Amino acid sequence: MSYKPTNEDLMDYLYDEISPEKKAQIDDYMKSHPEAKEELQGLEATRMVMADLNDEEPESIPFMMPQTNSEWLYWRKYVAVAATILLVITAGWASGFSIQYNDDGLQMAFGDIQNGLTEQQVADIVNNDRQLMLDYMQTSLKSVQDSIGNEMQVLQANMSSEEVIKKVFEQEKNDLMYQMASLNDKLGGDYRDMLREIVVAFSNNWESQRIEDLRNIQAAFTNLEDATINKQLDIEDAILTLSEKVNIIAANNPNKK
Amino acid sequence: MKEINLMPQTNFLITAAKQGDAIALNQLVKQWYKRIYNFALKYFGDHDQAMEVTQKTFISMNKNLKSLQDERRFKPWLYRIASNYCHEEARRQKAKWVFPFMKVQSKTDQEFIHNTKSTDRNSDPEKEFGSMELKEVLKKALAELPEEQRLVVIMKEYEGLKIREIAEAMDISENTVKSRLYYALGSLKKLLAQWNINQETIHYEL
Repeated sequence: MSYKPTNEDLMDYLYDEISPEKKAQIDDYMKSHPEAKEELQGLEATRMVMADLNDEEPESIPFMMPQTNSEWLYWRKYVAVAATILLVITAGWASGFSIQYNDDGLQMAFGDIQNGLTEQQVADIVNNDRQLMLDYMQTSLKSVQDSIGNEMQVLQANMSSEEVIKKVFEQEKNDLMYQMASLNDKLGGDYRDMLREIVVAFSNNWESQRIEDLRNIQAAFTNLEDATINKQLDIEDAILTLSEKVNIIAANNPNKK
Repeated sequence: MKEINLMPQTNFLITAAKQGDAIALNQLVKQWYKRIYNFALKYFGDHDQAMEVTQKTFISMNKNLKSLQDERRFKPWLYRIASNYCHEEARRQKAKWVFPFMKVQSKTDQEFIHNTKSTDRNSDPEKEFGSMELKEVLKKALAELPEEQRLVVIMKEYEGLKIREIAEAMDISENTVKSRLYYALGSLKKLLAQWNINQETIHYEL
């Protein structure tokens, strides 16, 4: 028999996924080839050992959400947007919200739109106010001008005669001169008195000084005189003594003459 | 295997879910959640990554269910989504910067396997511990397989897909599926022999 099963055939045989004809063919082969049978049994034994590796329980089985309603998922956001818009509109209608756009601009309000002052009204108010202010200022300016004019007229009337001015000026000048002269006199009198006092004091002082000096000189002369007299007396005594001594000597020694 | 029995019901649920029936959709998720989780868990051997992929798979299912023309092809279609996310997640994890101390060292794994073999299973807690270890070892064995072989084995051995369905889910020929299965089983056999694990040792005390 030339048939020899391939490895693939052996696997078919081993897992029993084989046609009955082929199975019979391999059975026959195994009978005549014990070594091939032994090999196959070895693989079978390996399978049995490996079969000891049992299943393990996974932790928990998750819950899956199907994605079949993806069409709804797609439309859902648009429906949400539409619902939101509807809600906003309803809320606006319920609260009496109104909005309009006209020449006055965009207006929004809850309830009736209450227009404020128009541009023209505001302009009129401003103009009126400005006119009032202008009038007031003009009248006050006029009154000020009038009063200044009156004063100027009075002033001009006073200033018209030059002689009056000259007289006033002369009078003023004389008054000033008189004041200066009296001041000068006053100052001159005082000065003379002071000078005289100084001169008197000086002359007195001078006089007493001179007398003092003369006294001193006199005293000095007196001293000198006394000293001269004393000297004279001393000399007279000395001469007297000398003459006596000479006489004694002359008496004692007459031969020597 | 029991999902095969549920298929008519599943078809009905899919039709309803496609029409936007939330209850049907959630029923569908409830029915398949555990399967997809375990599929990913066996692929990664890691709870967090498995949860991540499972959630992504069902979100994608929810979104793309309408594009499924034939209700009978729901199963390979769902596994296709899951395996794509598995692949993506694995690639993402690979691209992530992993510090050496965060990495599971193969050396410690080797020790782990070594200890597994020598564990004395006399008392009940130890037996339980031992069975937990066996689970880790089998996970490790799956992890050793190249990605495409691993996917095929998981779909076939644990998820009970037909070879035709796996081919459809992975967009490859049936022969390629069989060939990958063959090599995957061969590799697993070799690995288990290497670690001295066989039916006698694992059912030693059970």
